Formats: sequence, structure tokens, C-alpha cells
Amino acid sequence: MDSIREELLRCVRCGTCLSVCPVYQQLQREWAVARGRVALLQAGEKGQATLDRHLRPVMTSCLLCGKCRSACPNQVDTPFLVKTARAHLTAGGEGGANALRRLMRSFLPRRNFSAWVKLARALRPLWAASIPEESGLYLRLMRASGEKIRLPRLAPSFLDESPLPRAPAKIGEAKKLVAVFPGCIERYVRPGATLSQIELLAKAGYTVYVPENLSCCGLAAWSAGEPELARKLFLQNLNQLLAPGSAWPEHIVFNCSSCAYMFRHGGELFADLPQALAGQIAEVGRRSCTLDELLVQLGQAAPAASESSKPRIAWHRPCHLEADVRRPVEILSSLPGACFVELETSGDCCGGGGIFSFLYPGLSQRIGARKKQEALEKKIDYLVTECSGCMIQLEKLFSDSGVVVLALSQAVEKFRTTE
Amino acid sequence: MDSSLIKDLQRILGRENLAWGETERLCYGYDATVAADIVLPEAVAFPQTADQVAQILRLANRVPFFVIPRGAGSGLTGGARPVCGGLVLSTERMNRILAIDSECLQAVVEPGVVTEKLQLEVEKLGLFYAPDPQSRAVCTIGGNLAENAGGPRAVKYGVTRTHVLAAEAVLPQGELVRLGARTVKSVAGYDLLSLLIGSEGTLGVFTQATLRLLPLPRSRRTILAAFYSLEDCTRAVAAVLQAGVLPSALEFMDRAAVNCVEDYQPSGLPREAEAVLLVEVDGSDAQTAEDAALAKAVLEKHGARNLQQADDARSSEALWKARRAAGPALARIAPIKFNEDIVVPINRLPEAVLGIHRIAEKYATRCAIFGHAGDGNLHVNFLSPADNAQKLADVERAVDEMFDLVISLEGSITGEHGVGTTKAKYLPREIGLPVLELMRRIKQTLDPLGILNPGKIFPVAQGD
Repeated sequence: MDSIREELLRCVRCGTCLSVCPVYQQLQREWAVARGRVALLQAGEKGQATLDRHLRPVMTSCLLCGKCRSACPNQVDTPFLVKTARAHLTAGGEGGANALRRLMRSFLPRRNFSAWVKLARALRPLWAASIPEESGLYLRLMRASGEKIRLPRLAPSFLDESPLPRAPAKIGEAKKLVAVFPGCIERYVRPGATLSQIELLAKAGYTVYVPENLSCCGLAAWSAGEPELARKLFLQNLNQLLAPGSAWPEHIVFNCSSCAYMFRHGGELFADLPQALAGQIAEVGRRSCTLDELLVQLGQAAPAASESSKPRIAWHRPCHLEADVRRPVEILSSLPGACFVELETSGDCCGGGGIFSFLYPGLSQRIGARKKQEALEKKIDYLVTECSGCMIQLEKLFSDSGVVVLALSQAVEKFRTTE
Repeated sequence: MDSSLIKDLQRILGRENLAWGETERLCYGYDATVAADIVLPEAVAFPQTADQVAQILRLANRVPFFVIPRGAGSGLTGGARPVCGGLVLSTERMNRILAIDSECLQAVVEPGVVTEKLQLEVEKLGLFYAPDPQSRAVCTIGGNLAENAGGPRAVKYGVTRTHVLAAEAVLPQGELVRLGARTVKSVAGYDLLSLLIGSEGTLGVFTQATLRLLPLPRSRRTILAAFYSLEDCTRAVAAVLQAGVLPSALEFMDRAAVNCVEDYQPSGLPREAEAVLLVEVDGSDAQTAEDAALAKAVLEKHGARNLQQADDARSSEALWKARRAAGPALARIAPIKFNEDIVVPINRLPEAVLGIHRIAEKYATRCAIFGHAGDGNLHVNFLSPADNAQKLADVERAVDEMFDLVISLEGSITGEHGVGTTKAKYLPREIGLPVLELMRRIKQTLDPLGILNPGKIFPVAQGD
């Protein structure tokens, strides 16, 4: 708790976060911005307020986008504080009152993920439909709005059903060995993103493999206030990727910035660690990278002139992308098969925020509205991003328009040549 | 507040624009002031029209209850903090830019418009809103008017007052008035607009402002100059202006401030220099080239070394980034008296800076100074651990002596942050009791029940 207290004290109430918080800019209430959330947690810490039901919307209505942390003069890690507060809320939640916990129980893997997915597939017709307004889940989740939840449609064939490159038998001899980590969305909703990623990395001369027995990265669990589950998933993956006694991949490559974020920051979940494990965690973080970080070395052609006949592509920067933010732009603008268009709103949060968009669908769409408007005005054909959470949100946002959402890997694969 | 009052307020505002739960009250008891005690308001109102503001104040006089106007809560002297309960009146929801008139170079805005947002909008039309408080990404026009906010550009363009042509405000008893005119000139009667601007929300709540815009300067150049003598550096400030250059900013950082910035965010500032000046000129390309050359010659003549010049936005931004980091860099080391805000005539800057360093030495406290030297406005930070009672008392005494020094140099105890609660006890020392009494009479006339923003500006009487 001391580290939490110190983190809280670092906030000097300057209010810089007000200028960057997507949620505050919609709601314009202090409790919906880092400064207010920190003030409330401070009050709770001093015993002036209790982490009761009034604080629940305060803590659930954060996108965890981290824009406040980047803008903060003192780098107060409000997303971390919010995640911690959520853990307290879920731990203290009673009976049916806890929307977050229920959400977690409904959507996230507990022990046997593939069994869960098989069930989901059997129920696919139901799953793909909107949850009826009468359902208890709906009522618990939708406090204020009258909107329906739309869930992503599952892929006809899952990633694990495709032939995947597995770890080479003589792993020590493989040149430029990289492991690809497919997130849950890639595995069950968008396997094509991972298949393109494997293809691109192989073409770039890497020895690619997809490790077996990987779990969900755990970020959703952490965000939803289930740190225990998040730790478990994180360590499971850690042991698969950096198994003691075997050679380790040079890089662990992600299609999804949020999964990569989890691998780089998972260590924050642990208060005290044995030295060996701490070293392993640092190592997995160091080796983790998003696809763009390796692709930039491909040495693409010079930027294409803006020819009106080519498809118009634009970039959405995920909040969790930590690499050089210009790299994806450089990659996309060098693709000969498309015409790259800069968006002013490229770095604005899409409003997804993982479970945020399920808890607050209306608010989440309003946050993304400016981006949608600009993309439509600029007649974008393909919106490219590098985060599966963003992709789900962007697809919802653009569902009534002709804009197609692509993973970076898919866009590079599609437009690397002029057709 | 009892339930019938809550109902009355809800009738005025609509249910969704009034908050009185603990969560919301906890979030509207603070602003950016470093202060230990937070007093919660009893409720928070989010009006959307001037008429709602007027109705609230009429109700407040009938009941009565206190009303505390609040913009973005970025003030540094406690102006928007409740000191004895009451209703916080937030202008967050009155945030529309109503008109940008390119013909007359004017903008009409509601008080909740964020200053930087207005600047970006008018710049799209080749226009310029000059006032640039350091918190411009957050602070609002209403708050800027209430505090008469300044900023680096004040040396050339003046403070917020210079850029307000007219305003609509609700007076403490609920009358809605329009002050000023839509013209650059107007001398029709008393200048009541000037009375309200800078009154820190004690004489009225701004509900609309007509602001003066300027043509956007076509070019900007920035010079960073290092000095190895504090005295040389501070003398150079007046010399630049005397030489006929009116810079759009002339910023100062002493050695301690430079080193704090370098520790926080390495920016290539010379750590071993006694002080640095950042000079920015704006205007036409030819004008800024000429001004920059002239300013450099003057700076060099006064002992400046390692001059760096930035002629484009990107390299200029790199230099400014270092200056802007000064505030955050100092806040991070948790000083107890953060960011005092004094101002002296620019020819007294050497005496002020050297004098303040002497005071710091006397009380064995670290001290870092930065600020808008071009208009004599300095932010002084006595840095001391917050957990040491003896040190705390020493810093109090150091601040006290500093204000005496500033007043003796014909300066002022606040250049742009306002008096609020934190400087109220020093105010009589600067303005004298007869003037303080005059101010009290004005307040009494406009606000006989003392409804609006109580506990600000005027010192609390002994024994209270």
C-alpha cells in the first residue's frame, strides 16, 4: 500500500490531465478524470470516503488509455491506480452487485479456454446476436444507456485450426528466431491478422514459430480488477515462452499493442519477487515488441505519390502502442499499393478501452466520433491499426460506413505490391 | 443544504446539472493550489446559461448560501476553493465558442472555453489570441478573466485585460450586466469591466466575453543565452528592451531551476551557467530576423555565452520545452512553498534576484527562480522538505522577507496568480489599509451579504 500512497501523493492537482482525457472531454466532470480519481482514492485512503458503490462508476469509467500518465508532469500512473482500485472493488463486491466481476466470469478463460471457446462456437448464432435487453447481464452492465451490446463475430475457422509453424526441433540452431504471440481476438475472431504476421516475418528472414499452450495475455483480467487471474495467465505465458533450459526467442512479436503492453508491464502485478523470476519477467518484457518494430527493418519502397486510383489508407494509433509512434506511419506510407492519408485524430483514443466499451457503449462511441468524422471526410477506404481491442471498437464505430478495419500485418500484406 | 434547497436548485438547473453526492463534492473542493486542508462544497452546480447563473445568485441571496465560481480549477492561490461550504458554480458546461469575427478581429465565447482551444480555432483563420497562461491547455477564459491571467507573452501583448473588449457577467445579487463595448475604444462612464476582471470571482461571474484578436504573427525566432553572472543576466533584460527590441517573450531561469530541469528531463541547458534567458521575437520574417540579430548583440554585450538560435517551429519548441519543464520539475521535488509569484519593475530585477538568493542563504533553504523576466514577473520557489517543522517555519519567514523586499523595490506580491486565500495576509502590506478599505466598500456595495466567493482577497481579521 505504501507505493500506492506515494503514487497518490505525486499528484499536485495541476489539472493537465483534463486536457487529454477522452472520458473527461465527454462527461466534463472531475470524477471522470485522473485528478478527480486520484483525489477520491486519496480521500478513501485517508478514510474520508469509502470504496463503495458510488466509487464503482468512477473507477469503471476509465479507458486505461494512459494519456493522463503521458501528459502528467509527475507521471502519476493513474491507470495503475485505477486497476488497483478495481481489484479492491471486485474483491469487496457482494453477490450480484458486481458488474465487473460478472463480466470477467462471463468472458474470460478460467481454466480451460479451448473448452470455453468450443461452447461459444456451438452457441455462435446466439453469441453473434445482441444480448436482449431483458437479460440480467444487460441490466447489470447498462446502467444509464439504452443501447445494445454488440459482440464481435467469431471467425469461421479459428487460428489453431490452421497449420502453424511450431518451435523448430533444434531450436538453438535457428537463425533470428522469433515467437509470435496471438492474442485472444486473433485466435478466435481475426486469425488472418496472425497468419499475415507469420508470413511477413518469414519473408523478412526470421524463423517464426507460434508456441503451444499459450493463454490470454491477462491484460483484460488485470483491467477488470482480477489481478490474481492476470498473474496466473501472465506466468503461464512466461513459462511457455522462456522455458528454463531451452533456447529463448530473440523477439516475441505481437499484432496487438495491448498484449505487448501486458508483457512489458506485467511485472507491476507483483510486489515481491524472487530474483530469478524478476529476471525472467524483465527478459520477457525486453524481448517483446509489436510487429511494426521489426517491419521497419524491411526497407520498403519510397513513399508512393498520392494517386487517386489507389485505395486510401489511414492509421489509428493504439493507446497501448509504446514503440516509436512514427514507425507504423513510415511503414504504411511506403506501401506501393495504397495511398496513405494522415489523420489529425490518428492518436485520439478510439473509445474501446477493453471492457469499457461493453460497460459504456454510448460513451465509447461518442469518444470515437471525431475520428470517424475525419475518416469519412477524408474518404478513407481502410483504417489500419495494431491492437485487437481497437479493431473491435473501430469495427463497431464504422459498422454503418464502408471503411474496412485492418491489422497492420494485413495491410502490409495486402498493399506491399501494386496490383 | 436541505432537500428543499436542492429541489430549488434542481428546478433552475435541471436534475443532471446539480451534484451533491460525496463523490462529486470531494472532486470540487480543490484546485491546483498546494494546500493541505480541503473544505468540501455542499453542492456543485453546472449551469449552461447566464440566466441560470443569475437565478442561482438570486436564490443564494434569498436563502442565503455562498457561491464559489470555478473554471477548470487550475488556479494557484485557492481562488476556486470553498473555504466555508457553499455551492461551487462550475462553468465547465458553458463551453461554446459563439462567434469568431474575422472582419472585426473578435471572438465571442462562453466562460468555460479552454484557452488553448480558442487559440487553435482562431489560428486556423490566421488570427491570434495572445494571452498564454502556462496552464492554457486546461484553464478557461472565464477563469482567465476572473484572475486577469498573464503568461510569457505579456511583455509584448499585455495580460488578459488588454484583450477583453466586453463581457457579460452576473453580479453578486443576480443582475445580468454587459460591460465594455465591441470597440477597441470606449470611455463611456466608469471602467467597470476592469473592476470585474481580476476580481477573482468576488464581484461577479463572467458568462460571456468578447475578446480582441490580432493577426497571427507570420514568423517566430527564439534565442537561448547562458550567463555566468546573475547580475549580468538580469541587467540584460532591460537592455534588450532599451535597445528597441520588444520580444514576445523574455524568460529567465536561474542555475537551480536549470539544474532541476536537467535532472527531470535532460534538455541540453548549460548546468554550470548562473542563469539563462530565453528570448522570443515574433512578427514578419524580416522583422524577426532583424530583432533576433539585435537582441543577440545586446545579450552578448551583457556577457551572454553559448547563444543558440531557433528559426523554425520545431527547434524553437525544443528550447521552450526546457523552459516549460521548470514548473513540473520543481513540483516534483515537493517544495513546500511552490511557485510564489512576484513582480518588480524590470530595472530592479538584479536587486530582486540577488536579494532573494541572499534571503534563501540566510534561512539555509534551497531556492529556484524562473519566470517572465521581460515584464519583471518571477516565480520563486523555496525548496524544503515538507516534513520538517523548523524548515517550514524558516521558509515562511523567507517568504515574508521576500515580500518586504519586493514591496521596497516598488513591485507587487502577485503578478498573475492572484491573491486568493494564500496571499490575503500579505495584501495590506502592499496596498495599504486605506486602499484595502476602499476595496472592502466596493465589495460591500456589490455584495452586501458576502455571497460570492467568500474568504478570498481580504485578510481574515485577527482572532477569527
